[in-house]
Amino acid sequence: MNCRYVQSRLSAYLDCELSGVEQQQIRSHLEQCIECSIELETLRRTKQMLRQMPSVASRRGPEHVLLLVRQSAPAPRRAVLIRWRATRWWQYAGGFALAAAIAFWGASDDKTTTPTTPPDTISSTTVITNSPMLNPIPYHEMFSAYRPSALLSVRKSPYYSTPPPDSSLMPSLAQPSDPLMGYQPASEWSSIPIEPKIVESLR
Amino acid sequence: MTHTAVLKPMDELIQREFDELVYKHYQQAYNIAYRLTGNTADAEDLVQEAFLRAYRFFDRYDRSMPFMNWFTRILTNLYIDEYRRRGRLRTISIDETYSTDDGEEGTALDLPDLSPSPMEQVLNKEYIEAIHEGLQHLSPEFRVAVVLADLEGNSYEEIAEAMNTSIGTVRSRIHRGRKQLRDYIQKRHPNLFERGEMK
Repeated sequence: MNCRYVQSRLSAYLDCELSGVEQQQIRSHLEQCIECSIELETLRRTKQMLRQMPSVASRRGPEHVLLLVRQSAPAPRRAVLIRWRATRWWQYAGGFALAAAIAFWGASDDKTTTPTTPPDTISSTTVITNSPMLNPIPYHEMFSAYRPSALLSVRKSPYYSTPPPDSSLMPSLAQPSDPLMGYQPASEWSSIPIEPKIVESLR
Repeated sequence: MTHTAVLKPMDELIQREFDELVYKHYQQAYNIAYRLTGNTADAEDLVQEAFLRAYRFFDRYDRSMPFMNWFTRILTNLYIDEYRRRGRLRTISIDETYSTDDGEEGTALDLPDLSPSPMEQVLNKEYIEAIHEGLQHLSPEFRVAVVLADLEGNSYEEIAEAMNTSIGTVRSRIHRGRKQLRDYIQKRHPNLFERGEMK
């Protein structure tokens, strides 16, 4: 162990930031080397002087920082929201793909092939045009995390029309419900935020 | 009951948590900023900007770690970035006075009253000014490392985390920083260095 190596490690030695073996090796070297011992002493004094520097008080308190913080940015959100958002693009990817397919089909399809009344015979083109896959439910309804079952629902098509159900068997639209509980009146779907705000208690 | 109604108290809790952290750590943050920038005005700006940034990214703060570790990283990164952008930050001598719009005057350095004897006071002032001056002559990376290690008492590991570098680099920066500081004091104030420490 030469002096150059030892001197490069003297601050770490002072701070006890070396391994036990290295600390011991440098101590042994210092016992025999005056030059390195003097170097160590000057560094020790420098460190000592720095440690004795008094703390400085600010003329202004933290209040002005808090005031600026209030004015500057929206309230912070929890980390869990960030994680949830990170995975959201998968859900959007499906939506974008579907939207692109619909747009492409709409642009290339002849409008006259869509009859206003159900024909007796349905051409394969018409079936595809009006299939549930190409008539998705509205975007905000499809990707709502509150109604996973909405992913399976399809818009009503004239070719798949069924007799209206007995209204007495349907749940009342006027019935109030909590968005966190499953059922929500269809008339209020558009008012439900797309992004669920996840609530997590503080640790 | 709407979602907004559920979330609102939670936001207030987060806000209160942040406020408490600002109150608790403001003084320490200011002290670091002051030793890094060398003057009151820049230190206040730096602390303010660092807390604003901390608030903006508060959702990334890992509560299992001490706030000050995370915050020091923001503060030192901000300082080094700003230093590079602006070049050397302005420095103010300990004897320089400032005056506000209200006509109030005082020294630029808010030194605490340690109540020593007049002779000790002169020595202390000389000593503090010498170290303070010496720190301003270090490069920003060395200064950050030395301030965090010797003034704040952080471990090398904590400094490495704050500076986003390896422990080996931190070891080198502290060592070279102390050596440069020692050389500066020896050159400018040889008798002060020989005295070594204050009473």
